[in-house]
Amino acid sequence: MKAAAYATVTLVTLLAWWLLTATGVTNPLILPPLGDVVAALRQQDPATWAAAMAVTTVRATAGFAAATVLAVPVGVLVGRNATLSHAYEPLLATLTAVPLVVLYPVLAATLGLGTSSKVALGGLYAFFPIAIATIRAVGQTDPVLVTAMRSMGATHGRVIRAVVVPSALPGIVAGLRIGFGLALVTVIAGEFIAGDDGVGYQLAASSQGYQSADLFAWVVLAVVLTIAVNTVFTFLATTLERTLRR
Amino acid sequence: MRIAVSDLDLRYGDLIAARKITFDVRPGEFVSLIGPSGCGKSSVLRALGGLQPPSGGEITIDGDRVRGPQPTRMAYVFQDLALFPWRTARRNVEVPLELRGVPRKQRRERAEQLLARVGLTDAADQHPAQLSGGMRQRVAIARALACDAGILLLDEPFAALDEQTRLRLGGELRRLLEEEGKTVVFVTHSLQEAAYLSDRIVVLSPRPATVKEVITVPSPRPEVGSAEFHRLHAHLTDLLFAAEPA
Ligand SMILES: Nc1ncnc2c1ncn2[C@@H]1O[C@H](COP(=O)(O)OP(=O)(O)O)[C@@H](O)[C@H]1O
Ligand SMILES: [Mg+2]
Repeated sequence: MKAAAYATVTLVTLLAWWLLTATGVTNPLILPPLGDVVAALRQQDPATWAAAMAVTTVRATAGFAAATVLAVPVGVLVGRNATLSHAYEPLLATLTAVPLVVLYPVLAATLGLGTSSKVALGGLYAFFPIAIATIRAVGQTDPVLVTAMRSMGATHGRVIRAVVVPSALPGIVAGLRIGFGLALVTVIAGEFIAGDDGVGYQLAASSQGYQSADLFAWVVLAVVLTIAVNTVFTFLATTLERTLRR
Repeated sequence: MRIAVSDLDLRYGDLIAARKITFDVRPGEFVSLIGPSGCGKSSVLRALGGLQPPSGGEITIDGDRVRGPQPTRMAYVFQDLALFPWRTARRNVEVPLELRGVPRKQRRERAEQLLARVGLTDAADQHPAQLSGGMRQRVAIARALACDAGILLLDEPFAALDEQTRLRLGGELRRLLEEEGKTVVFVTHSLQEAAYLSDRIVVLSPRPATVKEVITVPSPRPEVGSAEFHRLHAHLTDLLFAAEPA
Protein backbone atom coordinates (compact mmCIF):
# COMPACT_ATOMS: atom_id res chain seq x y z
CA MET A 1 0.00 0.00 0.00
CA LYS A 2 2.70 2.44 1.12
CA ALA A 3 5.01 1.21 -1.63
CA ALA A 4 2.29 1.78 -4.21
CA ALA A 5 1.77 5.33 -2.94
CA TYR A 6 5.51 6.07 -3.11
CA ALA A 7 5.73 4.62 -6.62
CA THR A 8 2.77 6.73 -7.79
CA VAL A 9 4.19 9.95 -6.31
CA THR A 10 7.59 9.25 -7.87
CA LEU A 11 6.08 8.49 -11.27
CA VAL A 12 3.89 11.61 -11.22
CA THR A 13 6.88 13.78 -10.26
CA LEU A 14 9.03 12.35 -13.03
CA LEU A 15 6.20 12.75 -15.53
CA ALA A 16 5.68 16.39 -14.52
CA TRP A 17 9.41 17.02 -14.77
CA TRP A 18 9.53 15.45 -18.21
CA LEU A 19 6.47 17.42 -19.40
CA LEU A 20 7.77 20.75 -18.06
CA THR A 21 11.16 20.38 -19.71
CA ALA A 22 10.07 18.69 -22.93
CA THR A 23 7.52 21.44 -23.67
CA GLY A 24 10.18 24.07 -23.02
CA VAL A 25 8.14 26.01 -20.43
CA THR A 26 11.08 26.09 -18.05
CA ASN A 27 14.57 27.45 -18.40
CA PRO A 28 16.92 24.46 -18.81
CA LEU A 29 19.37 26.19 -16.43
CA ILE A 30 16.79 26.08 -13.65
CA LEU A 31 15.28 22.71 -14.50
CA PRO A 32 17.29 20.68 -16.99
CA PRO A 33 15.49 18.12 -19.16
CA LEU A 34 14.96 14.76 -17.47
CA GLY A 35 16.87 13.05 -20.25
CA ASP A 36 19.99 15.18 -19.64
CA VAL A 37 19.91 14.39 -15.94
CA VAL A 38 19.58 10.68 -16.62
CA ALA A 39 22.50 10.96 -19.02
CA ALA A 40 24.53 12.86 -16.40
CA LEU A 41 23.73 10.19 -13.83
CA ARG A 42 24.86 7.51 -16.27
CA GLN A 43 28.09 9.34 -17.00
CA GLN A 44 28.97 9.52 -13.33
CA ASP A 45 31.30 6.82 -12.16
CA PRO A 46 29.18 4.76 -9.68
CA ALA A 47 32.29 4.63 -7.48
CA THR A 48 32.22 8.47 -7.23
CA TRP A 49 28.64 8.77 -6.07
CA ALA A 50 28.83 5.71 -3.87
CA ALA A 51 31.89 7.20 -2.17
CA ALA A 52 30.25 10.62 -1.74
CA MET A 53 27.10 9.09 -0.29
CA ALA A 54 29.10 6.86 2.04
CA VAL A 55 31.17 9.80 3.33
CA THR A 56 28.05 11.88 3.99
CA THR A 57 26.13 9.00 5.59
CA VAL A 58 29.01 8.13 7.91
CA ARG A 59 29.37 11.76 9.01
CA ALA A 60 25.66 12.25 9.59
CA THR A 61 25.40 8.95 11.47
CA ALA A 62 28.41 9.78 13.65
CA GLY A 63 27.04 13.22 14.54
CA PHE A 64 23.59 11.76 15.18
CA ALA A 65 24.99 8.96 17.35
CA ALA A 66 27.04 11.37 19.47
CA ALA A 67 24.00 13.64 19.86
CA THR A 68 21.79 10.70 20.85
CA VAL A 69 24.23 9.38 23.42
CA LEU A 70 24.29 12.82 25.06
CA ALA A 71 20.75 14.07 24.49
CA VAL A 72 18.73 11.05 25.62
CA PRO A 73 20.30 10.73 29.09
CA VAL A 74 20.23 14.52 29.53
CA GLY A 75 16.59 14.52 28.42
CA VAL A 76 15.66 11.72 30.84
CA LEU A 77 17.45 13.46 33.71
CA VAL A 78 15.90 16.86 33.04
CA GLY A 79 12.48 15.42 32.15
CA ARG A 80 12.27 13.46 35.41
CA ASN A 81 12.85 16.63 37.41
CA ALA A 82 10.09 19.25 37.34
CA THR A 83 12.38 22.11 38.41
CA LEU A 84 15.07 21.29 35.86
CA SER A 85 12.59 20.87 33.01
CA HIS A 86 10.90 24.19 33.81
CA ALA A 87 14.30 25.86 33.72
CA TYR A 88 15.83 24.13 30.71
CA GLU A 89 13.05 23.31 28.29
CA PRO A 90 12.45 26.92 27.15
CA LEU A 91 16.21 27.48 26.91
CA LEU A 92 16.68 24.43 24.73
CA ALA A 93 13.67 25.35 22.60
CA THR A 94 15.19 28.79 21.99
CA LEU A 95 18.59 27.36 21.15
CA THR A 96 16.96 25.12 18.55
CA ALA A 97 15.80 28.19 16.67
CA VAL A 98 19.31 29.70 16.52
CA PRO A 99 20.78 29.09 13.05
CA LEU A 100 23.77 27.24 14.41
CA VAL A 101 25.08 26.73 10.90
CA VAL A 102 26.65 30.20 11.27
CA LEU A 103 28.98 28.48 13.71
CA TYR A 104 30.37 26.33 10.94
CA PRO A 105 33.34 28.63 10.17
CA VAL A 106 34.25 28.49 13.87
CA LEU A 107 33.99 24.71 13.89
CA ALA A 108 36.02 24.51 10.69
CA ALA A 109 38.68 26.81 12.13
CA THR A 110 39.03 24.71 15.28
CA LEU A 111 38.39 21.21 13.94
CA GLY A 112 39.62 21.62 10.37
CA LEU A 113 37.77 21.27 7.09
CA GLY A 114 37.64 17.48 7.23
CA THR A 115 35.19 15.07 8.82
CA SER A 116 35.38 16.31 12.45
CA SER A 117 33.87 19.74 11.87
CA LYS A 118 31.01 18.24 9.82
CA VAL A 119 30.27 15.59 12.41
CA ALA A 120 30.30 18.31 15.09
CA LEU A 121 27.85 20.48 13.12
CA GLY A 122 25.53 17.53 12.45
CA GLY A 123 25.71 16.50 16.10
CA LEU A 124 25.02 20.03 17.31
CA TYR A 125 21.90 20.21 15.17
CA ALA A 126 20.68 16.77 16.17
CA PHE A 127 21.19 17.37 19.90
CA PHE A 128 18.43 19.89 20.55
CA PRO A 129 15.41 18.19 18.97
CA ILE A 130 16.38 14.90 20.57
CA ALA A 131 16.87 16.46 24.02
CA ILE A 132 13.61 18.44 23.81
CA ALA A 133 11.57 15.50 22.57
CA THR A 134 13.01 13.33 25.35
CA ILE A 135 12.31 15.92 28.06
CA ARG A 136 8.71 16.31 26.90
CA ALA A 137 8.05 12.60 26.46
CA VAL A 138 9.62 11.73 29.81
CA GLY A 139 7.68 14.51 31.53
CA GLN A 140 4.45 12.88 30.41
CA THR A 141 5.14 9.60 32.16
CA ASP A 142 2.02 8.60 34.10
CA PRO A 143 3.00 9.05 37.78
CA VAL A 144 0.60 6.26 38.74
CA LEU A 145 2.69 3.79 36.72
CA VAL A 146 5.82 4.98 38.50
CA THR A 147 4.17 4.56 41.92
CA ALA A 148 2.92 1.10 40.94
CA MET A 149 6.40 0.05 39.86
CA ARG A 150 7.86 1.40 43.12
CA SER A 151 5.23 -0.43 45.18
CA MET A 152 6.36 -3.66 43.56
CA GLY A 153 9.88 -3.02 44.79
CA ALA A 154 11.58 -1.45 41.76
CA THR A 155 14.73 0.65 42.26
CA HIS A 156 15.01 4.10 40.65
CA GLY A 157 17.09 2.69 37.82
CA ARG A 158 14.52 0.00 37.21
CA VAL A 159 11.71 2.57 37.16
CA ILE A 160 13.57 4.48 34.43
CA ARG A 161 14.25 1.35 32.41
CA ALA A 162 10.89 -0.37 32.82
CA VAL A 163 8.47 2.56 32.97
CA VAL A 164 9.92 5.92 31.93
CA VAL A 165 11.81 4.83 28.82
CA PRO A 166 9.17 2.52 27.34
CA SER A 167 6.43 5.04 27.97
CA ALA A 168 8.46 7.89 26.46
CA LEU A 169 9.84 5.87 23.57
CA PRO A 170 7.43 6.94 20.81
CA GLY A 171 8.16 10.60 21.64
CA ILE A 172 11.91 9.97 21.81
CA VAL A 173 11.87 8.18 18.47
CA ALA A 174 10.02 11.12 16.89
CA GLY A 175 12.83 13.36 18.20
CA LEU A 176 15.48 10.99 16.89
CA ARG A 177 13.91 11.08 13.44
CA ILE A 178 14.00 14.87 13.36
CA GLY A 179 17.53 14.82 14.77
CA PHE A 180 18.78 12.44 12.12
CA GLY A 181 17.18 14.47 9.35
CA LEU A 182 18.85 17.63 10.65
CA ALA A 183 22.21 15.90 11.02
CA LEU A 184 22.04 14.79 7.40
CA VAL A 185 21.02 18.21 6.11
CA THR A 186 23.66 20.07 8.09
CA VAL A 187 26.45 17.66 7.19
CA ILE A 188 25.54 18.24 3.53
CA ALA A 189 25.46 22.00 4.20
CA GLY A 190 28.88 21.81 5.85
CA GLU A 191 30.27 19.92 2.91
CA PHE A 192 28.68 22.49 0.60
CA ILE A 193 30.33 25.39 2.43
CA ALA A 194 33.80 23.92 2.59
CA GLY A 195 35.62 20.65 2.02
CA ASP A 196 36.49 18.32 -0.79
CA ASP A 197 34.23 15.32 -0.48
CA GLY A 198 30.69 14.16 0.26
CA VAL A 199 27.32 14.84 -1.38
CA GLY A 200 27.40 18.50 -0.34
CA TYR A 201 30.76 19.06 -1.97
CA GLN A 202 29.57 17.44 -5.19
CA LEU A 203 26.48 19.66 -5.20
CA ALA A 204 28.67 22.73 -4.71
CA ALA A 205 31.15 21.69 -7.39
CA SER A 206 28.48 21.10 -10.01
CA SER A 207 26.48 24.21 -9.14
CA GLN A 208 29.54 26.44 -9.46
CA GLY A 209 30.13 25.28 -13.01
CA TYR A 210 26.47 25.88 -14.00
CA GLN A 211 26.34 22.22 -14.90
CA SER A 212 22.62 22.00 -14.39
CA ALA A 213 22.28 18.38 -15.44
CA ASP A 214 25.13 17.35 -13.14
CA LEU A 215 23.73 19.40 -10.29
CA PHE A 216 20.33 17.76 -10.67
CA ALA A 217 21.93 14.35 -10.88
CA TRP A 218 23.39 15.06 -7.43
CA VAL A 219 20.08 16.39 -6.17
CA VAL A 220 18.46 13.11 -7.26
CA LEU A 221 21.21 11.19 -5.50
CA ALA A 222 20.73 13.24 -2.33
CA VAL A 223 17.01 12.47 -2.41
CA VAL A 224 17.72 8.77 -2.91
CA LEU A 225 20.13 8.88 0.03
CA THR A 226 17.53 10.56 2.25
CA ILE A 227 14.91 7.98 1.35
CA ALA A 228 17.33 5.09 1.96
CA VAL A 229 18.45 6.50 5.30
CA ASN A 230 14.84 7.10 6.37
CA THR A 231 13.85 3.58 5.48
CA VAL A 232 16.71 2.15 7.52
CA PHE A 233 15.81 4.51 10.38
CA THR A 234 12.16 3.42 10.38
CA PHE A 235 13.20 -0.22 10.42
CA LEU A 236 15.60 0.32 13.34
CA ALA A 237 13.06 2.40 15.26
CA THR A 238 10.41 -0.30 14.89
CA THR A 239 12.87 -2.91 16.10
CA LEU A 240 13.80 -0.70 19.07
CA GLU A 241 10.16 -0.21 20.04
CA ARG A 242 9.53 -3.94 19.77
CA THR A 243 12.46 -4.64 22.06
CA LEU A 244 11.80 -1.99 24.69
CA ARG A 245 8.01 -1.88 24.72
CA ARG A 246 7.02 -5.46 25.39
CA MET B 1 0.01 -10.77 59.03
CA ARG B 2 -1.23 -8.17 61.41
CA ILE B 3 -1.39 -4.50 60.54
CA ALA B 4 -1.62 -1.94 63.31
CA VAL B 5 -2.33 1.72 62.60
CA SER B 6 -2.06 4.04 65.57
CA ASP B 7 -2.73 7.77 65.75
CA LEU B 8 -1.88 8.16 62.06
CA ASP B 9 -1.81 11.78 60.82
CA LEU B 10 -1.42 12.61 57.12
CA ARG B 11 -0.85 16.10 55.77
CA TYR B 12 -0.14 17.62 52.36
CA GLY B 13 1.37 20.96 53.32
CA ASP B 14 -1.44 22.77 55.10
CA LEU B 15 -4.10 20.32 54.00
CA ILE B 16 -4.92 17.70 56.63
CA ALA B 17 -5.99 14.49 54.95
CA ALA B 18 -6.26 12.21 57.99
CA ARG B 19 -6.18 12.72 61.74
CA LYS B 20 -5.46 10.27 64.55
CA ILE B 21 -6.49 7.20 62.59
CA THR B 22 -6.33 4.05 64.69
CA PHE B 23 -7.41 0.56 63.66
CA ASP B 24 -5.90 -2.85 63.16
CA VAL B 25 -6.24 -5.68 60.69
CA ARG B 26 -5.88 -9.25 61.88
CA PRO B 27 -4.25 -11.99 59.86
CA GLY B 28 -6.57 -13.31 57.14
CA GLU B 29 -9.12 -10.58 57.72
CA PHE B 30 -10.94 -8.55 55.05
CA VAL B 31 -11.24 -4.98 56.30
CA SER B 32 -12.91 -2.18 54.34
CA LEU B 33 -12.21 1.51 54.67
CA ILE B 34 -15.30 3.44 53.73
CA GLY B 35 -15.87 7.16 53.58
CA PRO B 36 -17.05 9.92 51.25
CA SER B 37 -15.00 10.84 48.17
CA GLY B 38 -12.00 12.99 48.99
CA CYS B 39 -12.03 12.17 52.69
CA GLY B 40 -8.54 10.68 52.65
CA LYS B 41 -9.06 6.94 52.05
CA SER B 42 -6.45 6.63 49.30
CA SER B 43 -4.00 8.62 51.42
CA VAL B 44 -4.42 6.22 54.33
CA LEU B 45 -3.98 3.22 52.02
CA ARG B 46 -0.85 4.76 50.47
CA ALA B 47 0.55 5.26 53.94
CA LEU B 48 -0.18 1.59 54.77
CA GLY B 49 1.68 0.61 51.60
CA GLY B 50 4.69 2.72 52.57
CA LEU B 51 4.15 5.00 49.58
CA GLN B 52 3.55 8.05 51.72
CA PRO B 53 5.29 8.92 54.99
CA PRO B 54 2.99 9.55 57.98
CA SER B 55 3.02 13.09 59.37
CA GLY B 56 2.38 11.59 62.80
CA GLY B 57 1.63 8.27 64.46
CA GLU B 58 2.80 4.96 63.08
CA ILE B 59 1.94 1.89 61.08
CA THR B 60 3.40 -1.51 61.87
CA ILE B 61 3.19 -4.89 60.21
CA ASP B 62 3.82 -7.76 62.58
CA GLY B 63 5.47 -5.20 64.82
CA ASP B 64 7.82 -3.73 62.16
CA ARG B 65 7.36 -0.10 61.39
CA VAL B 66 6.45 0.61 57.73
CA ARG B 67 9.03 2.97 56.19
CA GLY B 68 8.70 2.27 52.48
CA PRO B 69 7.23 -0.19 49.99
CA GLN B 70 7.52 -3.78 51.21
CA PRO B 71 6.84 -5.78 48.06
CA THR B 72 7.29 -9.13 49.77
CA ARG B 73 4.61 -8.33 52.34
CA MET B 74 2.15 -6.00 50.62
CA ALA B 75 0.75 -5.84 47.11
CA TYR B 76 -1.28 -2.94 45.79
CA VAL B 77 -4.19 -2.66 43.39
CA PHE B 78 -4.48 0.98 42.41
CA GLN B 79 -7.64 2.97 41.89
CA ASP B 80 -6.82 3.45 38.20
CA LEU B 81 -5.22 0.00 37.98
CA ALA B 82 -1.84 1.23 36.73
CA LEU B 83 -1.48 -1.46 34.07
CA PHE B 84 1.41 -0.88 31.68
CA PRO B 85 -0.33 -0.14 28.39
CA TRP B 86 2.54 -1.37 26.22
CA ARG B 87 2.60 -4.77 27.92
CA THR B 88 0.18 -7.61 27.25
CA ALA B 89 -1.95 -8.92 30.14
CA ARG B 90 0.54 -11.72 30.72
CA ARG B 91 3.55 -9.40 30.62
CA ASN B 92 1.80 -7.11 33.11
CA VAL B 93 1.37 -10.01 35.52
CA GLU B 94 5.04 -10.87 35.02
CA VAL B 95 6.26 -7.50 36.35
CA PRO B 96 6.57 -8.45 40.04
CA LEU B 97 8.19 -11.74 39.00
CA GLU B 98 10.71 -9.87 36.83
CA LEU B 99 11.53 -7.62 39.76
CA ARG B 100 12.24 -10.70 41.88
CA GLY B 101 14.49 -12.12 39.17
CA VAL B 102 12.33 -15.14 38.33
CA PRO B 103 13.63 -16.71 35.07
CA ARG B 104 11.63 -16.09 31.93
CA LYS B 105 10.08 -19.53 31.55
CA GLN B 106 8.87 -19.80 35.15
CA ARG B 107 7.63 -16.24 34.93
CA ARG B 108 5.52 -17.06 31.97
CA GLU B 109 4.09 -20.20 33.53
CA ARG B 110 3.25 -18.47 36.79
CA ALA B 111 1.62 -15.54 34.99
CA GLU B 112 -0.50 -17.88 32.91
CA GLN B 113 -1.51 -19.76 36.06
CA LEU B 114 -2.59 -16.55 37.75
CA LEU B 115 -4.49 -15.33 34.70
CA ALA B 116 -6.32 -18.66 34.66
CA ARG B 117 -7.02 -18.16 38.37
CA VAL B 118 -8.87 -14.91 37.59
CA GLY B 119 -10.58 -16.41 34.54
CA LEU B 120 -8.52 -14.70 31.84
CA THR B 121 -6.79 -17.59 30.09
CA ASP B 122 -7.79 -16.37 26.64
CA ALA B 123 -6.79 -12.76 27.16
CA ALA B 124 -3.14 -13.37 28.05
CA ASP B 125 -1.80 -11.88 24.83
CA GLN B 126 -4.11 -8.86 24.68
CA HIS B 127 -3.02 -5.37 25.63
CA PRO B 128 -4.99 -3.52 28.34
CA ALA B 129 -6.60 -1.24 25.75
CA GLN B 130 -8.14 -4.30 24.10
CA LEU B 131 -9.74 -5.52 27.33
CA SER B 132 -13.01 -4.54 29.01
CA GLY B 133 -12.98 -2.72 32.36
CA GLY B 134 -13.79 -5.91 34.25
CA MET B 135 -11.02 -7.81 32.47
CA ARG B 136 -8.46 -5.09 33.18
CA GLN B 137 -9.53 -5.32 36.78
CA ARG B 138 -8.76 -9.02 36.84
CA VAL B 139 -5.34 -8.43 35.27
CA ALA B 140 -4.54 -5.95 38.04
CA ILE B 141 -5.60 -8.50 40.66
CA ALA B 142 -3.57 -11.26 39.02
CA ARG B 143 -0.56 -8.93 39.03
CA ALA B 144 -1.05 -8.19 42.72
CA LEU B 145 -1.25 -11.94 43.42
CA ALA B 146 2.01 -12.39 41.51
CA CYS B 147 3.71 -10.36 44.25
CA ASP B 148 3.14 -13.35 46.58
CA ALA B 149 2.57 -10.92 49.43
CA GLY B 150 0.46 -11.80 52.43
CA ILE B 151 -1.34 -8.47 52.42
CA LEU B 152 -3.37 -6.97 49.59
CA LEU B 153 -4.22 -3.28 49.54
CA LEU B 154 -7.04 -2.49 47.13
CA ASP B 155 -8.06 1.07 46.32
CA GLU B 156 -11.62 1.19 44.95
CA PRO B 157 -10.76 -1.55 42.49
CA PHE B 158 -14.29 -1.73 41.09
CA ALA B 159 -15.08 1.99 41.02
CA ALA B 160 -15.18 2.08 37.21
CA LEU B 161 -17.65 -0.80 36.90
CA ASP B 162 -21.44 -0.92 37.00
CA GLU B 163 -23.10 -2.03 40.25
CA GLN B 164 -23.90 -5.58 39.10
CA THR B 165 -20.45 -6.38 37.71
CA ARG B 166 -19.02 -4.77 40.80
CA LEU B 167 -20.84 -7.06 43.21
CA ARG B 168 -20.17 -10.15 41.10
CA LEU B 169 -16.45 -9.41 40.77
CA GLY B 170 -16.35 -8.45 44.44
CA GLY B 171 -17.78 -11.81 45.43
CA GLU B 172 -15.31 -13.65 43.19
CA LEU B 173 -12.46 -11.59 44.59
CA ARG B 174 -13.48 -12.25 48.17
CA ARG B 175 -13.57 -16.04 47.55
CA LEU B 176 -10.26 -15.98 45.69
CA LEU B 177 -8.48 -14.03 48.41
CA GLU B 178 -9.96 -16.23 51.10
CA GLU B 179 -8.64 -19.31 49.30
CA GLU B 180 -5.25 -17.69 49.00
CA GLY B 181 -5.32 -16.81 52.69
CA LYS B 182 -4.70 -13.12 52.08
CA THR B 183 -5.11 -10.31 54.57
CA VAL B 184 -7.00 -7.54 52.80
CA VAL B 185 -7.52 -3.81 53.22
CA PHE B 186 -10.16 -2.67 50.78
CA VAL B 187 -10.99 0.98 50.13
CA THR B 188 -14.44 1.80 48.81
CA HIS B 189 -17.08 4.49 48.88
CA SER B 190 -19.84 1.98 48.19
CA LEU B 191 -21.97 0.93 51.19
CA GLN B 192 -23.17 -2.15 49.34
CA GLU B 193 -19.68 -3.30 48.54
CA ALA B 194 -18.40 -2.76 52.08
CA ALA B 195 -21.40 -4.52 53.63
CA TYR B 196 -21.20 -7.41 51.19
CA LEU B 197 -17.47 -8.17 51.34
CA SER B 198 -16.02 -7.24 54.71
CA ASP B 199 -15.31 -8.91 58.01
CA ARG B 200 -14.96 -5.47 59.54
CA ILE B 201 -15.64 -1.98 58.24
CA VAL B 202 -13.71 1.11 59.28
CA VAL B 203 -16.04 4.08 58.74
CA LEU B 204 -14.23 7.36 58.08
CA SER B 205 -15.54 10.90 58.42
CA PRO B 206 -15.32 13.53 55.67
CA ARG B 207 -11.89 15.17 55.36
CA PRO B 208 -9.87 15.19 57.48
CA ALA B 209 -10.54 11.49 57.82
CA THR B 210 -11.06 10.32 61.37
CA VAL B 211 -12.38 6.93 62.43
CA LYS B 212 -16.10 7.27 63.17
CA GLU B 213 -16.67 3.67 64.04
CA VAL B 214 -15.29 0.21 63.38
CA ILE B 215 -18.16 -2.15 62.58
CA THR B 216 -17.79 -5.89 62.96
CA VAL B 217 -19.90 -7.71 60.39
CA PRO B 218 -21.72 -10.69 61.92
CA SER B 219 -20.40 -14.08 60.94
CA PRO B 220 -21.39 -15.74 58.64
CA ARG B 221 -21.59 -12.60 56.52
CA PRO B 222 -25.21 -11.72 55.74
CA GLU B 223 -26.45 -12.28 52.21
CA VAL B 224 -27.44 -9.34 50.03
CA GLY B 225 -31.15 -8.71 50.55
CA SER B 226 -31.37 -10.39 53.96
CA ALA B 227 -32.78 -8.50 56.95
CA GLU B 228 -29.35 -8.57 58.57
CA PHE B 229 -27.81 -7.02 55.45
CA HIS B 230 -30.41 -4.25 55.48
CA ARG B 231 -29.68 -3.49 59.13
CA LEU B 232 -25.98 -3.23 58.38
CA HIS B 233 -26.61 -1.08 55.30
CA ALA B 234 -28.90 1.22 57.28
CA HIS B 235 -26.35 1.56 60.06
CA LEU B 236 -23.62 2.48 57.56
CA THR B 237 -25.96 4.97 55.89
CA ASP B 238 -26.65 6.63 59.24
CA LEU B 239 -22.96 6.90 59.99
CA LEU B 240 -21.99 8.25 56.58
CA PHE B 241 -24.83 10.68 56.12
CA ALA B 242 -25.20 11.83 59.73
CA ALA B 243 -25.20 15.61 59.92
CA GLU B 244 -21.74 16.92 60.67
CA PRO B 245 -21.40 19.22 63.67
CA ALA B 246 -21.27 22.73 62.25
N1 LIG C 1 -0.47 14.22 46.44
C1 LIG C 1 -1.34 15.08 47.00
N2 LIG C 1 -1.00 16.37 47.20
C2 LIG C 1 -1.87 17.24 47.76
N3 LIG C 1 -3.10 16.92 48.15
C3 LIG C 1 -3.52 15.67 47.97
C4 LIG C 1 -2.66 14.67 47.38
N4 LIG C 1 -3.33 13.50 47.33
C5 LIG C 1 -4.55 13.75 47.86
N5 LIG C 1 -4.66 15.04 48.25
C6 LIG C 1 -5.82 15.64 48.88
O1 LIG C 1 -6.07 14.93 50.07
C7 LIG C 1 -7.45 14.73 50.27
C8 LIG C 1 -7.74 13.26 50.38
O2 LIG C 1 -7.49 12.64 49.15
P1 LIG C 1 -7.62 11.06 48.92
O3 LIG C 1 -6.83 10.36 49.97
O4 LIG C 1 -7.29 10.77 47.51
O5 LIG C 1 -9.19 10.85 49.20
P2 LIG C 1 -10.16 9.66 48.79
O6 LIG C 1 -9.33 8.51 48.32
O7 LIG C 1 -10.92 9.37 50.02
O8 LIG C 1 -11.06 10.17 47.72
C9 LIG C 1 -8.15 15.40 49.09
O9 LIG C 1 -8.56 16.67 49.48
C10 LIG C 1 -7.06 15.48 48.04
O10 LIG C 1 -7.28 16.59 47.22
MG1 LIG D 1 -9.27 7.59 46.47
